[in-house]
Amino acid sequence: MADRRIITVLSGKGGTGKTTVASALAMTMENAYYIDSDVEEPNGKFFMKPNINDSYTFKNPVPRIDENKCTFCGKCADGCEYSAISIIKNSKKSFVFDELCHSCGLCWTICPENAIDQFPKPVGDVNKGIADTCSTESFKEGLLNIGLPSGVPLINHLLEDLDDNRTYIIDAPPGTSCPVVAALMPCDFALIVTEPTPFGINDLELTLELIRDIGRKGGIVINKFRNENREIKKLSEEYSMPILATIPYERSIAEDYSDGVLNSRVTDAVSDIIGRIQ
Amino acid sequence: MKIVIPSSGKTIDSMMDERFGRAGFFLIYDTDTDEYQFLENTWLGQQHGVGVRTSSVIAEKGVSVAIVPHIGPKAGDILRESGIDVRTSEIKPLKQIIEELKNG
Repeated sequence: MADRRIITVLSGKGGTGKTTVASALAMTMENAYYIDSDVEEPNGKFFMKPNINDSYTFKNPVPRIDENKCTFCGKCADGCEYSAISIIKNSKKSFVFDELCHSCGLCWTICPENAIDQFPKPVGDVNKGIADTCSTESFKEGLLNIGLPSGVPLINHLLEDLDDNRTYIIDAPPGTSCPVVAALMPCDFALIVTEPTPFGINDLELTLELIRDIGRKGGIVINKFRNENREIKKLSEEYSMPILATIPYERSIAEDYSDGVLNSRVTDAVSDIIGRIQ
Repeated sequence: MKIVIPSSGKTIDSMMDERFGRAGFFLIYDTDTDEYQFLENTWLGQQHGVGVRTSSVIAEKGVSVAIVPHIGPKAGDILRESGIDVRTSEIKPLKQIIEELKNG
């Protein structure tokens, strides 16, 4: 446990450069493992160029009620915190709403008739592999099935059973809601990527607040940097999360990005901060 | 015949509520005896599944018709599958809906 290090890269606003910074970190740090937890649109693979050698579908159990055994007592529906089950005693009907179910298992645990089976419902796909710059397994991503309301179960699955002696870089989804919290919970250090625009700065503050509330150490990388930004500096001081690096606003970086290549100015800026986030 | 109408208040002079699952109250009205009662929606504070809770309670009340402005897919399924005839109506005073129903 002592040597495990987990760094979550997040931003609030989308498109600030999370994946750019996260993959630059993963490729620059020795033996780092990159986890793409942006399960609605994972695209770290374009930088990491992994050789995928393990793919499977992640499933979560949801209840299926056997109406031949069910006595319509309603204990499962009354107990369900998420209203995922409805039992109508009058008409002897049962309803299960998979999209409300959190797979907590209460219903099949308390059913006095043993009438509730667990059905493994596909949540999304997981791909694992070896990144371009590594010789062992060092890449995984999740891809949430279309139509599902929450990526959290899949993100939690990606982040369980991490090795004790390894550095993990978690590429978080944008935003500041549940999926981001899931990606943030296991981390030792939160690295925020922002950009000096009103949109970037607004979401930077929301992100700083979230990290402070959860109680993690954090630091800031300013992408598309042109000149010193007083607002970002002020926020950095207010929340005690230092500005660790800047990545210049430059055409050559954007051109490389559109080819799926990390520009050396990016890897240089990122490699400078490795010592400060360990 | 017993009917249910989502209501914005708990008196017979109220308007129909604009939603079903998240309505403030429910009028349950017996058109044969003109007896009625109001149920308060105690699930409103919940973030998710309010329609499931309220429609499950309503489905146990022995009503045969639900008159709604709009109903969510889950609540609608529960009512219909429980044998309740779900009809839609414009938002009107409860009294007017009942009158119109009685006059066919």
